[in-house]
Amino acid sequence: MQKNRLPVVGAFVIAGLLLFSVGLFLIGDRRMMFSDTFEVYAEFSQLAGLQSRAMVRVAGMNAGEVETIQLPATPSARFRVKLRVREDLHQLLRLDSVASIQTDGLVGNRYVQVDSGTDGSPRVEAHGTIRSREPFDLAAMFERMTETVDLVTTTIKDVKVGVDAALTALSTTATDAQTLINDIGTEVRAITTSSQKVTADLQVIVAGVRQGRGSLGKLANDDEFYDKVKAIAGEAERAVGNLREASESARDAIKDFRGDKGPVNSVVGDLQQSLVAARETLSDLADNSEALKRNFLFRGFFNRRGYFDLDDISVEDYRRGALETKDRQVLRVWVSSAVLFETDASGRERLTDDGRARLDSAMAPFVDYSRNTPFVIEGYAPGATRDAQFLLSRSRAQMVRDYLVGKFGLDAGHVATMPLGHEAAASPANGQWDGVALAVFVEKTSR
Amino acid sequence: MTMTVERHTASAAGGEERECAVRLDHVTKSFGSRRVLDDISLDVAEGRGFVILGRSGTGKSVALRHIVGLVRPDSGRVFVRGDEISALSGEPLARVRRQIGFLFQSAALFDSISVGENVAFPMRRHTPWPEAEIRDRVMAKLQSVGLDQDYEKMPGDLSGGMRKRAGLARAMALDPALLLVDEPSAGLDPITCEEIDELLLGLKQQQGTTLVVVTHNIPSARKLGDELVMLHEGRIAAQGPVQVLEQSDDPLVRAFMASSHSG
Amino acid sequence: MLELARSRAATHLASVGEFAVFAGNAARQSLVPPFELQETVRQLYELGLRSAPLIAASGLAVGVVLSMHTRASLERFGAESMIPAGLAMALVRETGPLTAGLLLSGRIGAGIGAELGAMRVTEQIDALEASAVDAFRYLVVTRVVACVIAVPILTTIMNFAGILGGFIAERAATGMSLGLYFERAFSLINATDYVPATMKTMVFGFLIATVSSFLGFNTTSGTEGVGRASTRAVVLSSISIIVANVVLVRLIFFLFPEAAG
Repeated sequence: MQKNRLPVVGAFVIAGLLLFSVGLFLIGDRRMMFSDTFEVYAEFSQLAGLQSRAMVRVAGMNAGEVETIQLPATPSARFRVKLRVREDLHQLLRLDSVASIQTDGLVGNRYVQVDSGTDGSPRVEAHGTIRSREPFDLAAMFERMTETVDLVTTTIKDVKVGVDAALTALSTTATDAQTLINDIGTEVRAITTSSQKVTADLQVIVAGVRQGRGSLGKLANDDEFYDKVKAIAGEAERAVGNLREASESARDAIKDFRGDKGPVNSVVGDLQQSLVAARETLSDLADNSEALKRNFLFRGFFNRRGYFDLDDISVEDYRRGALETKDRQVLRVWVSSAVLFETDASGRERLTDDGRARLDSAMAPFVDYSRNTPFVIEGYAPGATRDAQFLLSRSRAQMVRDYLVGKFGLDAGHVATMPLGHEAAASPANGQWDGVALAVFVEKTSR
Repeated sequence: MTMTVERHTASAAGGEERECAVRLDHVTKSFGSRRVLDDISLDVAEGRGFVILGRSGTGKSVALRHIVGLVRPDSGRVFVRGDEISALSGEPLARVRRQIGFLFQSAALFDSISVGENVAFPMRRHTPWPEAEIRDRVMAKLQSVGLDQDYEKMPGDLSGGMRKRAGLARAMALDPALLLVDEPSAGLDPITCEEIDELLLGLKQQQGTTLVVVTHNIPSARKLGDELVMLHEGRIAAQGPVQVLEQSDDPLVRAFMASSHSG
Repeated sequence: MLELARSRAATHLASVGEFAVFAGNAARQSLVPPFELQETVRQLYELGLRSAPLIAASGLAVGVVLSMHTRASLERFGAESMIPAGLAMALVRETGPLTAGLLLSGRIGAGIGAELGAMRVTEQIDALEASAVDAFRYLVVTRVVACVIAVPILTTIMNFAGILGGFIAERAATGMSLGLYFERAFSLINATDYVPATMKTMVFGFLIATVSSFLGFNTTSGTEGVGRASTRAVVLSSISIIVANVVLVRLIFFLFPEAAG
């Protein structure tokens, strides 16, 4: 009776097993179970979530899988990752091939990318170890940068002490020492300002990255971004190098002076050169970190912390009270043009000494506020046309800004000028003003 | 009642269990709170026709199922040809069961296989016979019940009487010495019923098969029963040949025996 | 009232206990000879092979629908290229096994419940016993073995039919080639996603067969009882599969941590 069913049922079971094996084969095919493979090793101190059986790509081609991950024996040792790679791609793996851990897409799995090496380099032997690049940990990277920049600040303090001591000693003998002291003092101040600013910015970024680590996956895969961060780190290190040099020079200067021999000026000249180099490097660094701040992913961190992109605020927005949010109120000091400016022979206005003194005293209530507080110099001027009003009020605001930034070492990123014409709603003189107003937007809770 | 006990005591004392095809020894059985069999003892002699009578729901079928071990007594023992079937399980139980044929009330043919395969089923299971011999024997069995044209038919396509006959052919497939029949007349017209009775009678007379028949059909009982026992409310109300029951003191028994065919 | 509730609870607990013994016996006897080979083959045919068309057709449909849904959601992230992989992953890991399990608990569960129920009320099970055949071994163990073998096979058919259905939908939407589709479909699946998920359906098969057989085997009260046994076989085997699945998935994650990734 059931005898005729036996072959049918047998076929059913066998077909089922076959189908199941086909599935296994399709998986196995990708896993290179059935083709020639060889093994190489790569070492990482940080796995970034890489698991065994993860995919391996050689120059972007699916080429095998991570077979095992050997745990490090000591904290300083590294994870040893065994990669099984298709034999037919062996010729691409050279001694200068670099393995790195990457993420597949925005949210994908981790895989190991192996860049193919250069033609001149010899092939990696089976069971050999290829070079590796550590997975890019954003927070760690920024932290290291912050440390480096802190080092800049510390170093510059040492340098300043050394330089001051040297130059004070020198000034008794060298006639032009006073000038040098002034020049070097300016450089040192510029370096300190820049490095403090960079440190502050980086700290905000590090904190932000730590909070929002997950959302930053894309940055880690963005080459341009990676390069920028690398450049900043490099610059910071170079700046430290320059400063060390400056420090050496200062020490040499003192030694030479005490030994009372050698051309003092040349030693001081070396010192000055080193300082200039350091300042330039640091100003590049400041530019780069400024660019980083404007990266759309980081912007949020700065806005939350009260940073404003003052350049982005138009005159119209400003008039409408863009900076007077519910957390901030404005403190204004009105300074009349009669005190500030005089007209020179060419008909252009310039700051008078009285004007400078007036500005110095006008700044007095503001110096207590944090460096991050937005500071706006409003320019006001009478004129026949709106153009004339605009141009004159702008040149007045800029003159005052330049003076204040130079004099008080203000953070240029937080000082803006606003040419506002003749109208001044809040003015003490019937809704018009001729001169400038210094406006600071302070947090309501801060006082 | 008194008589039964004496008979049983006599036979137990004599130790002549060989002579008994079936023996129930103080069997009691309850389903839930309902006592179906209450201290029943009876002997069925080898080669005889033994009929268990009673109204519906008096435990006749339950008694029959005890004999083949489908139901186990709560207390008491059941012997089949000297083996205590109520204490057996596994292979020993199967060995005893192979000596018993059972014709169920509904014939209980296996729906999924043909009539012929139904009859062949016990042969295939329990004998080493080759396919050809099985086929011959099945044909013989089917012929004996008049179904030799219906080997390939499925049980669903048969009438009630044919099913019963096919069931009988299957029950007799291994030529058992003991045939248990549950309500042979149930659901059949009187003529078909008589045909079945004739077949059963033929088995007893020609092959010496011991019959234990449960029925409430008096004509069948008269025809097949060398000895009858009537159950009432789980107890034996009367026992003996037809004449004894007909002349019973118990009006219930007399009334039952006087009733004609009750389908 | 309370008394009634208590006695009901006791009855249910007793049935659970009975079922546990029943299932335990089924498991034990399916490993110990004698094996009812012929009957097992018949059950493989009835329960396994004859379920294949249902499973294949359902698999195709599920694949098409799943593909349309994953397309709708993945398109938002611009990740259409993940559709085959996502679909195959979903099918192989969970949708295939569970859908196949539920479909089969409907088809096989109802079949076994009704067949054994009918055999019980028409005394066929007694007839087997009376013919010196171990009805439990002959009827229950054979079905359990057949289900344990057939359900993983049918699940595999479901998986492939589903992936094929996904291909049909994908083909209609983007005209992707079969080769590329299959390569993408299997690009993310590991053996640990595939093998344990398929093997767990052996447990599904065991549950379907034992639950339905238990209900069918213990049918009472005539034809009405057969209908009830059949319905309850479907309901209870479906529930037992869903509950068991939770435990099985947890167990698989515990045994194969990679499968959780």
